[in-house]
Amino acid sequence: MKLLLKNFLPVKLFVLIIAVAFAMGCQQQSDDSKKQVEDNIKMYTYVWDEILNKGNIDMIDTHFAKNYVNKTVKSTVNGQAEAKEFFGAFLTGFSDINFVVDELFGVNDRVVKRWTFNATHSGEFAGIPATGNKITLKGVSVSRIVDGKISEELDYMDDLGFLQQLGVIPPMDQ
Amino acid sequence: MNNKIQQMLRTFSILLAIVIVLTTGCQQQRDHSKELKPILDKGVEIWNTGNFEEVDKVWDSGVVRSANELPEVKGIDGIKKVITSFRTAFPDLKLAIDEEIYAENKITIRWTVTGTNTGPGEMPPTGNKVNFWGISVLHLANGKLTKEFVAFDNRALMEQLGYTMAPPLKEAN
Repeated sequence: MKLLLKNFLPVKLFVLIIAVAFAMGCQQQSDDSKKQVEDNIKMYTYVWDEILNKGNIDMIDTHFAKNYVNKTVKSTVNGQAEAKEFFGAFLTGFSDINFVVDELFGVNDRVVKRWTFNATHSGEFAGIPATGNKITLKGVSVSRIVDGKISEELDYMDDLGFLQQLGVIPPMDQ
Repeated sequence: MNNKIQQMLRTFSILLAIVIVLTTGCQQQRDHSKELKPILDKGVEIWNTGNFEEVDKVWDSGVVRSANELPEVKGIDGIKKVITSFRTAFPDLKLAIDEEIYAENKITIRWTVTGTNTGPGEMPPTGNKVNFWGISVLHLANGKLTKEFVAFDNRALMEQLGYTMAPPLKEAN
């Protein structure tokens, strides 16, 4: 029995040390990934505020990945140049832009954002001449942040409601 | 004999330790899918069957659903009405989940709906098959859905139903 205890205890101790070391390692890893998500959210919020609210389209050069991809139901954008053209169209087509982030949270490399785009249609947009209409567009974007840069965005919004607000399509109930 | 027992105990201890380390060591990185996925799965099942028996196990009585810029839908009756209206217009409706992102008391789902428009909706049935996708951000409290924020493209849906959307006006000259 004595022999048994003698042999058993060191093993237990050894095991305990491994477990503690592992748990501490995991804690560290968890803190790191939490910090990563916080950094991603900070950068992402800043970049989109600069682009849409301040018209700083060049943020795309510095904060979007070279192989950036954006998808909506109707469109695909590949790379920084196409992204500048795509989002630039909103800056020339609209003024008084107030882009509001309604909710934002991140998990691992993903960032989920619910947003509202308030603006006045004061310039040509997608072939539609300025109407002066005030529009409110709501949507959700799911993005991927890789090495501190925005690498992918999936944008979900209702084009029908958008075109109705631009006066191109009559409201459904008419 | 003693040796054999010692050997067994050692092996057992190490095995036990490995199991403990694997199961508890990395629990700090909480995986919210374990608690939330069953609720999502049941919700998807209700959408796909139209069977409302367990609807109050998924949605909270104070649930608020908002889709695009449309007026909010409130309460379990509101949710039932939305599901019923879709399932009436598309009796073979199938909701499939393309991606699930879990956070604390939140689920984001990218989804695809397919169906055949054989029943009446806001407009008479067209017989057309549709396949459209969207996203929902779901908030939960006490294991039930309290908020649904849905975004999807009605234009794609209407076009698949055969409606022609007026093309953007060209600038004069």
